[in-house]
Amino acid sequence: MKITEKDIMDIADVSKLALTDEEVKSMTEDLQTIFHCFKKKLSNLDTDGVKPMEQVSSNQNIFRDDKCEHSLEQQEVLKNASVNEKGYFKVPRVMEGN
Amino acid sequence: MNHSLLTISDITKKLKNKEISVIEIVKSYLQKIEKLNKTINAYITVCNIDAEKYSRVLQEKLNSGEKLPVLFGIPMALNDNIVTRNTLTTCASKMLGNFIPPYNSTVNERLHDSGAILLGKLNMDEFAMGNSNESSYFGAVKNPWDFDRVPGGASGGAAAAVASGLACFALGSDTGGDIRHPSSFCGVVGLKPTYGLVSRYGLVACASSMDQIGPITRNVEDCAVVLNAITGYDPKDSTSAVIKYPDYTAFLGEDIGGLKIGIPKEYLDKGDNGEVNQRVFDACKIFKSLGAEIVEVSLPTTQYAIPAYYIISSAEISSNLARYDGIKYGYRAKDCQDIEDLYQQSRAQGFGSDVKRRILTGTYALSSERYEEYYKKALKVRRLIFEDYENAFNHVDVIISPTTPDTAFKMGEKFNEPKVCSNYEYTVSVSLAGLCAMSVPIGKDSEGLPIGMQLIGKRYGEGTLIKVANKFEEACNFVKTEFIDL
Repeated sequence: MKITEKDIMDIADVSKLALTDEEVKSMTEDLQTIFHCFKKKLSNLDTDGVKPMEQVSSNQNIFRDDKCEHSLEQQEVLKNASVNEKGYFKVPRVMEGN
Repeated sequence: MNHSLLTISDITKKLKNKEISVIEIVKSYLQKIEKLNKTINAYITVCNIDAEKYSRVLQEKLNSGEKLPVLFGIPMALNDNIVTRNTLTTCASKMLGNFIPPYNSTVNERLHDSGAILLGKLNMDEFAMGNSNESSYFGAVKNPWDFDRVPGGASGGAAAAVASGLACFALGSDTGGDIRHPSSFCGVVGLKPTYGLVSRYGLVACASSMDQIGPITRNVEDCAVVLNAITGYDPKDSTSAVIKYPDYTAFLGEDIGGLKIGIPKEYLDKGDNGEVNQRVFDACKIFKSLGAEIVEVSLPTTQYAIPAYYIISSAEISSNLARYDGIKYGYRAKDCQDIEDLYQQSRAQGFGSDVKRRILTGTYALSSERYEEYYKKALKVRRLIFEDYENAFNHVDVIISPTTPDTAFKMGEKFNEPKVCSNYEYTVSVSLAGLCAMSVPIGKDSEGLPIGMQLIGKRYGEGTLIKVANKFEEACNFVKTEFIDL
């Protein structure tokens, strides 16, 4: 198994992370080490038939009554946004065209 | 007078006897922070004005003879990933460098209602990822026992603050050892509660299936008192435990005669650091003298814990941190061409290299072609580790191990090393299994650096841990005498 710089650029793109050429290089090396280490260490451990364990909480399907509760005021929600206007979060144009 | 090394019960007594006022206590802590924080860098934010204001409110209550809640007038601090309404909460990241939360975490509300006074927000590894506290955007924290060394991580500021008297107690967060590891390196008591025991509402998510908030204190009694204040069912956290929550202070002073303490043969056979292991053996002798039985147990699968933990935690991190898009809150890059560029640049400029590495690792492990090979495999290993502990706990009440194989390392020594090679091995398996564990100081190595032992308990077995650790502390009595007065 070899992780290439192309692999890193692809997952960086999915992760919405702009990487410098230098970062692509160092992350390729790091991930190569990480996944190699994982494989080397775990290849001899037989896990056939073992049920994957996503979480340890014994809670299941926690419901609450469907009733309105206090929520934050609009101003409070917007106050941490770098750019907002007329009560909206402002983003660069998303749609194509004029 | 220097009040900064007093325990919770010391302060409570002095307040009730009118030996000191709440105002004096808070002032003395703030003065010490002013003097030492430049060096230790444990705090990112100090809440001088709010702390003094609240101290005056509490002093009036004290004067009026009102019934006092359990943490009345106790100065404390919170890890900077625990959300505090109207107080900067940065996660030690440029990404949240200007984030002022419009809501409160459940733990902060509970502490406030219990009369505890928030002194400030503590430095940590960025987004709670790391074990040296060197990845903070706000600079590294120094170990108070030796300024050239790291305090451990990720809750390094919390452990350093409690050890050096910059807070009476602190709350940290623990994903793979992030409370226990720095507690061991700084010589304080740190508890990672059972998954679900303490509400995670308002804890900025790192790896949600393992994150837990827990206390860092000067002794075991304080740990029990703080735990009482922060536990309880919280409807705002869907993983909050639906159990009868005990009074943890009721376990203090209880006898441990006949209790079975397991020692995993795999851990002590390794002989990483003779001094650390020797201290754990010494602790076993003390437990024996207190009437406990030491039993060998086996945890064969825990040797696979680190790679499994690294993959699972990175996978959860990559999805949790997808929320930082530069729009609703957090860092937003300037001069971007379009929305895609805005996302890419904000995240590239806002996150540090450790965080980026974890996001990429998680995304890679979760990608459809590699999901079975890595993520699913890691989840299967998690089940085996969980079962290892279940089997061991059929025979014993508590398991003992070192907290870390070594004592505090030098700054820069391990920075930027992918943490898949970290020295978290004794702590991560506990996190994967969702159990509780406590790090308790058990002396110093030849260089004068603290050594910690880890006591691992069954699910919701915090009471037993408190009982065992408290008896140990009483028998040794060094915890109280070994604080540094800087």
